Amino acid sequence: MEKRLFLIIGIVASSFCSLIFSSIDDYFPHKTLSSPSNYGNTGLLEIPNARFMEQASLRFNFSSSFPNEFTTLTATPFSWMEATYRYVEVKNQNYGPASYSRNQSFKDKAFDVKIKLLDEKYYLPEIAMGLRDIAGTGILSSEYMVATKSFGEFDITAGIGWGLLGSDNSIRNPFNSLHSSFKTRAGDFGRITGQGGDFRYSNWFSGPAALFGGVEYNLRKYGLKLIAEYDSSDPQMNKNPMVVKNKLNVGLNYHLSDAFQLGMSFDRGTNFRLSFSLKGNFYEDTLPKPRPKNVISLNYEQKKRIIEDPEIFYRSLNKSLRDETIYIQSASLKKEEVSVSVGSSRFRSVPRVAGRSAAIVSALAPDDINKINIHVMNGDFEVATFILNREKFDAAKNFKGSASEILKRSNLESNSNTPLILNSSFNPTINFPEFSWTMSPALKHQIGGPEGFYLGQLFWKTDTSIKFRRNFSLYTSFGINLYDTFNNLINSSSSSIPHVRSDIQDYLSEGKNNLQRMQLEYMFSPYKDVYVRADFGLLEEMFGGLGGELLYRPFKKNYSLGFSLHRVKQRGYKQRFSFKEYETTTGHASLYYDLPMGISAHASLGKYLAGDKGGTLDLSRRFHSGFTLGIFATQTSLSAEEFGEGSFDKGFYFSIPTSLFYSDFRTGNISFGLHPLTKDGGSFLIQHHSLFSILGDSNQDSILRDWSDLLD
Amino acid sequence: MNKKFVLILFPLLFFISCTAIDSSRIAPGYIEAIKTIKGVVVGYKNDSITPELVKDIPYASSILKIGKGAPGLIILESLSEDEETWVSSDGIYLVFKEGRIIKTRGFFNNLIGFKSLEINLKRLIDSKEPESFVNYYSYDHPKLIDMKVSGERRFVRKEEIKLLGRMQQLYLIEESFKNGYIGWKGTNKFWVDDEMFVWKSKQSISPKLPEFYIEVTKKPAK
Repeated sequence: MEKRLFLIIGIVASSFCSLIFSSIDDYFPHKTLSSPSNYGNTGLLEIPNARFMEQASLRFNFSSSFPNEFTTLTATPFSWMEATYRYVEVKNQNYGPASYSRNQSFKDKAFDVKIKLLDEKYYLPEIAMGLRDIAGTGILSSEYMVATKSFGEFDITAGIGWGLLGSDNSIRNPFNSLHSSFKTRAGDFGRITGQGGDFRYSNWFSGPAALFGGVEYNLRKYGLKLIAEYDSSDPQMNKNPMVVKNKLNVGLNYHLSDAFQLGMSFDRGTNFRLSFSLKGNFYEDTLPKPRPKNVISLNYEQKKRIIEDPEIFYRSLNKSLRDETIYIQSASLKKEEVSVSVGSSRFRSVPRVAGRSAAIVSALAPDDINKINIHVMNGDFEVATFILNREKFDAAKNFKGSASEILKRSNLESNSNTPLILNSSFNPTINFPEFSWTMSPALKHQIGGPEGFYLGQLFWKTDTSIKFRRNFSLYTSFGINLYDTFNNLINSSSSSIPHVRSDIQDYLSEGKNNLQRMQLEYMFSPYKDVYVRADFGLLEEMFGGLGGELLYRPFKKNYSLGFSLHRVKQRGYKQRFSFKEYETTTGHASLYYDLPMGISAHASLGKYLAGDKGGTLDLSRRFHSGFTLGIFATQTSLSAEEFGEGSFDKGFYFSIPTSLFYSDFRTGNISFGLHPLTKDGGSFLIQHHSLFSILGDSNQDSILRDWSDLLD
Repeated sequence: MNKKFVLILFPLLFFISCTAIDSSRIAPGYIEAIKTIKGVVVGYKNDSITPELVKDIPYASSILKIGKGAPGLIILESLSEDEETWVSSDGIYLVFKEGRIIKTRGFFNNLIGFKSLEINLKRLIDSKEPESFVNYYSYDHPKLIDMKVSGERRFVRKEEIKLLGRMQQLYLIEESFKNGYIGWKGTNKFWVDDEMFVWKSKQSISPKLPEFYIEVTKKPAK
């Protein structure tokens, strides 16, 4: 009995120890975790595995051999999903006739998705399924189900593939018994089956199938991963046949750091391949940021003087807030409460602005004050009011309470149409008109066109604004060319509908020194939670006109409704003050909806710039760090033929907060969006200060999401 | 516009523009990025810590530089028996014993324990014979207890070293160390005076942290 007791205690203790102490394996200089396959998504060389990057990761991968070269961008919006966008260059094929694409080699775009079905367990492998080239030309279309299990430093992968991955035809398609439609695959894998852009659902998991597999061995001490795989794709049957001397591919990856990998492999017994990848994880901000500045509380005598002369309080507040790069907009000191409205371009998190402001107010306010009201502004809109219990707030700041306890004794409100700035005792003097300007080098890109894979421009961008009064401003933006390769653009648009976007080549080549925007804008809030914006002028690089938008954003709800309407005329290619003949009315009704897990949906219906009518759905996920990944698709009244290559408008975007790279707070973003093709159908007017972009991330749900920042 | 012009223009844009143009008008991200890139490539200069500044501070002080980061001052916070606790303005705490970092606080990965047999530098210098050693390091985040590191310690030479505003004759001691399992290795250097006081050192304390460079600018009063 005693022995058994000791045994149980021993087992419990040893398992407890293993929970407390992690392994020395965490201290290897380089992690040899998931690495990209040649196709960009996580895998071995030519075949995928069931591993995934951590969620909120982005990976750029370049893998070069002959004749195929892959350039990919892979993202993980969820821990169970990987999405890849890929350019394939086929070096021994021409893009088109020389008159169209000179001597440029053939390029193909593709989109892949991989979904995790099962996490790895002690006995069970990690299992995933995936689709390659799901809406493309079909050159590399494949589907697969794959399992991966680790055994010490080994990672073993086995799977079954269809399409190009099934071209080995080594087993009977297991889905054949489910339905006869799985027996055949329309068109031939490895051959172009159309213009692309269509989801060919009927082909998925159909036709010949084959088994593939491989093994990875981690030499973590050296940051090396050795790879060997059996490749079930058979490029001899491809559009562009390749010699296959061996179905076994071998390679190695070197992890220079957690972010950077180099790879080399020997494929099919004939070709060497070199690759590198750059990965970032943006799930959280890992760089420590400055703590709130210490504010020394006023002594009894000073607080007594403040009651007699509130101007001293306002001036002290102004100075102390300024030290935190928070700017006071107005303030009112009453007997038992103080209200302050503030704005800051330093902090992304609204609770952080409110918390740092409240700490300063509390340090300076007379002792009788028990309520601190912080009115947070974005631009000239008051977006939220924090009504904080001073006692609870001070206790939490002194580690005698928590942010949750403050929340229980606080209120959140929004009184957009009666902001504090209209009814306060103190308003800092602003001398209108207020003029400001900034400038910086900037880039324009044209990626994947027939004239060259990358054409670009480096230009010097200058932005100016003249604020005539609150909410009424003139914005101007102009660019001066420094260097460009746009003279290589030779193919004019052949679109059969109004050329609202497809004349991009003319805009780029003729408008190198341009006036991008000259826009007069007025914004106001006529009713609670209702916001209006009117604009007039050169609204964007291709259109000018007048119009506006209206947004209803109920502060305590997780949805917003928007409506926009503009009468616009197409601008001349030189992008100065001339216009072309085409003019139209465009507008949309929009629904913005916050779903769980930081997912936002934006659905809009309306008329687009080319006169086509339809709807757009935009889905994005925002992580706590502010990193956002999104996709969108537009279907309009245009037929696939009228729309042209791609069949309908679609694309993806991501946005990385710049503060993730710096040791101080800042609100800027590094944003990247890609339409695989610049088409006229489904084109929106670009609105630079859309109301949702100003107000969307400051409703009650967003504030509660970031509530812990109140004390940070 | 030809390529030569662009080659000339780029440095102008990215470096000279910082001084020629009012930098507050340039998007701040660019200015900070340029400073960061310059720092990463060529390191940061110690031009803000002067003998006068050190003299004005009424505490014992040292210059601390971590990897290629900017050097900063650390101040002696407390002294207990043979351990000194030093603190930086951004809340980094370092505990030293006989010039060697034995604990840290404030990093994402901290040294929480250091064990070794007695280290007698005087004997090492006198004998001029290298000696082998085994040290044990413990860390938090991720937690690891008693990671074994073995190596060899030796007296290299006596040399004149420039410390802040003065020259001093010091003994250079080198420690080559490694943990064969994870492949962590490096060399620590200590410059000591006749009293075996460590005036200057280069120390690796964790596989997850860059090297630490420490130079004592005002010696603690014993």
